[in-house]
Amino acid sequence: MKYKYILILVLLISPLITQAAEISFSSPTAVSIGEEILVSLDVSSMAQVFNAVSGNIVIPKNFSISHIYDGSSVVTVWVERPSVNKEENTISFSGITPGGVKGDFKIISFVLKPMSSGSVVLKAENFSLLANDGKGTIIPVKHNSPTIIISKIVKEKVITQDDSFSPELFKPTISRTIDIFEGKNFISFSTNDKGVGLDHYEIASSFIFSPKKESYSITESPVVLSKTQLVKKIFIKAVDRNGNERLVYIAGPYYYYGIIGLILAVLLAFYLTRRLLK
Amino acid sequence: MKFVKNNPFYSFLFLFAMVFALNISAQESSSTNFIIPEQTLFSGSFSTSTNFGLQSLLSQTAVGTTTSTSFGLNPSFLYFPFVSTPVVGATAGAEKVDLSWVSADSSTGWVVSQYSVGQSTTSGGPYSYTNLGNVLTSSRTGLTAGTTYYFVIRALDFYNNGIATSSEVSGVPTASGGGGGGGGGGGGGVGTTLGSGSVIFSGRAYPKITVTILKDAQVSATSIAGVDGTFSVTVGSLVAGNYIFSIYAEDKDGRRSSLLSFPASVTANIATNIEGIFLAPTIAVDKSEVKRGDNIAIFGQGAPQADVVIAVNSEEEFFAKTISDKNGIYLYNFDSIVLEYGSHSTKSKASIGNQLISGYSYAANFKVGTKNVAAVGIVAQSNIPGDQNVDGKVNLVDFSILAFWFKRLNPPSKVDLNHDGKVDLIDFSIMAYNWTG
Repeated sequence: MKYKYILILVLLISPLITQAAEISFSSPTAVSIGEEILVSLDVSSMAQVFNAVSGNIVIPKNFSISHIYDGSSVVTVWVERPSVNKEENTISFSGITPGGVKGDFKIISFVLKPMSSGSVVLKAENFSLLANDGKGTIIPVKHNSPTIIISKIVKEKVITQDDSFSPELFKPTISRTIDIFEGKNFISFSTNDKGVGLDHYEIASSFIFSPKKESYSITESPVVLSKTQLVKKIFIKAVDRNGNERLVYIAGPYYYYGIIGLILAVLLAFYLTRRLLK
Repeated sequence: MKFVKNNPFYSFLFLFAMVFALNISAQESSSTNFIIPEQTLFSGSFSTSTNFGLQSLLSQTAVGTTTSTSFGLNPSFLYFPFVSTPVVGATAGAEKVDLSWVSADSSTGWVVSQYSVGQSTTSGGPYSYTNLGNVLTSSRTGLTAGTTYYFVIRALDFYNNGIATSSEVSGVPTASGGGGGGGGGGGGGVGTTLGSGSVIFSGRAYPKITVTILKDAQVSATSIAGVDGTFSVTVGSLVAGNYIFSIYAEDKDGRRSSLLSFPASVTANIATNIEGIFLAPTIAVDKSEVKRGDNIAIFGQGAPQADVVIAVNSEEEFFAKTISDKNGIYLYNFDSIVLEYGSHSTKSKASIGNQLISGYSYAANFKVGTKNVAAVGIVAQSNIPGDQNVDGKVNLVDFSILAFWFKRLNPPSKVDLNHDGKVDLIDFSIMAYNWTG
C-alpha cells in the first residue's frame, strides 16, 4: 500500500518537475595550475520550447579566461555577442533562436587557464531562458554549478581550436525607418562562424575599387550610412576568432546613379574636349 | 462498493483524478444527432467498438490509455489527446547512423515520457525497438558498412505505450576509416572536422505553395510543393558544424504556417536526411468579432485530404473536426453560442491516417460580442509583432531596429513589443516567435 502512495505522489509531482529547464557546466572536476580546460555552458529544456537566452558566467579569479567559442551555439542571432569583462572576470551574452528549440544544447564554450590553487565554483548569474510562446514567458531554470579543484601541481597545457574556414556567407541589407537614426539609411548584417565563432565585423566603403585594408574600421550592426556612403559600395568583413575573414558588399542606394553620373561626366568631358580641339 | 469507499487508496485515486481533471472542465456538447450532458468526447479511434458501449463516466489514475489483455479504457472527458509526430534526421557515419529528432509536441492528456528507436534492414520493418529515455539524439553504432538501415522514432507515454511514430528514415553506414594518428605532445585540441556537407529536407506542406528553409534564422532555400503537398529541398555546401534549420510554408493567400525548427549537426561530405516533416496548417477567421450565437468561419490551408482538428481556446476548450479538400483548403463554421463573451483564440492541426500528425498552427484571435465585425485582410501581412518596417516579414532588419533600442531609454511604443517601457530580451523573444527570415 505504501508503494501506491509513493507512486501517486511521484505521478503528481513529475509533471511539475519536467516544466523546469536546467543549465549546467561541462568541465573537468580536477585540474593543475597552467593546465587549460575547455568548459561549456549547456542548457537542457525538454518540456518547453525556448527562443531567447541571456546571462552572466562568473569565473573565479583563480582562472583567467583564454578564449570564448560560440561556433556551436544554439543561439543563431546574438543580441550581445559573448564577451569577457576582464575586471569582473565574467562572460556575458544574450541572443535568440528564431522559431525556438527544445532539447539539450550548448550555449557557449570557453577555455580557462588555472592561475592559482583552490576549490572553486563556476556559476551563471542573471540567467534568463524565455519560452517561444509569443509572450517571452520566463522558463524556470535549475542551476547546476560544478566545483573544480585546482591542485598546486603545475602542468602546462594549451587548448586551441583548428579552424581555417571563413565565417558563413551573408547578405547585408540597407533600409531606413523613422524609428532609428532619425530616418537615415542604415545597414544591417549578421552571420555565424561554425568553427571558433565570430569575433567582430569591419566596415569600409569605396566607389569603384576595393577599399584598402587600413580603411576598414570595427563595427556592429546596425550602422548608419553617411551621405557619401549612399553612392558607394559598402564592404562588410566578418572575422572569426582565428582571424579567418568573409568579405561581402552591397551597393549603396544611389550607387548606380553615381555610376551613371560618372559615365555622363566622362562623356561630357570627352565631348567638350573634342569641341575645344576642333 | 464498500471496499472502494473504505479503502484510502481509492480515495487518493479519486483525488488524483480530480487534480488532473482540473485542466479540462466539463461542458455540455450537442449536435443534431446527439447530446452529451456530462462531457465525454475523445478522438474517434478510441471511442467506438463493436463489442462495448460506454454507459457512464469512468476514470483512472492518470490521463492516457489504460490497457490490459482484455480491455482498453480511456478516461472520459471532452478532449483530444494530442501528440505530434517526431521529425527525424539521419546522418550516416563510419559503421553508425546518428539520429536526431524534433520532440513530439504533446498536450491535452498525453505526455511524452521517453522515446524508442526502431531499427530494421528492411524498409517498413518489422523494427527492433530500443528504449532510449527522454532524449532527442541517438547514435546507432556497430552497423555494417554499405547496408541500408531503416529507423523510426516512437514517442512513448508514461506507461510505455507508443503514442506517435515518426516517418521512416534511412542511412547507409560507411566503412571505418581506421584509427587516427597518434597525437603529438604538448597542446590539447578541440576536435572539429571542417568540410562541406548537406541537409535534405522532405515532408508534407500544402499543394503548390512555397516552402521556405531558414538556416540559422536567414532564408537559405525555397521550393514549391507538389500537387500532393509533398516537397524535398536540399541545402548544400554547408561547413561542418551545428545549425538550426527552420521551415515554414506560405498558403495561397499569403498566410504562414508556424515555424518548425530542427537542430542539425552537419558532417563533412555526408548528407543528412530530415524526413517526415509535416507542416501545421495555416489558420484565419472571417470575423474579428462575432455576435454571440452566430457562426464564425475558421479556415486555412494544410495538407490535402487531411483530418483537421480545430481547437477553440477559452476558459473551456472546444474541439471540432473537418477534412481538407484536394487543395488542402479547410473550412469549419463554428457556432459561437457555446463561447462566453470576451476574447478567444483558435488553432488547428492536421493528421493523415492517424499516422502523421502536425503541430498546432499559430493562433487566430477573435472576440465574442454583440455585433459581427469582419476580419480585415490577411492579419499576418500587416500586423506581425516584430515587423518593425511593415514589410510583412520579421527578419534581420527588424532585429536591427530592436537592437538599436536595446537598453536605451524611451523607445518608441512600436518597438517596445510588450509595452513595458523598455526593449529587453522579452521583446526579442516575441520577435523570435514571429520570425520569418
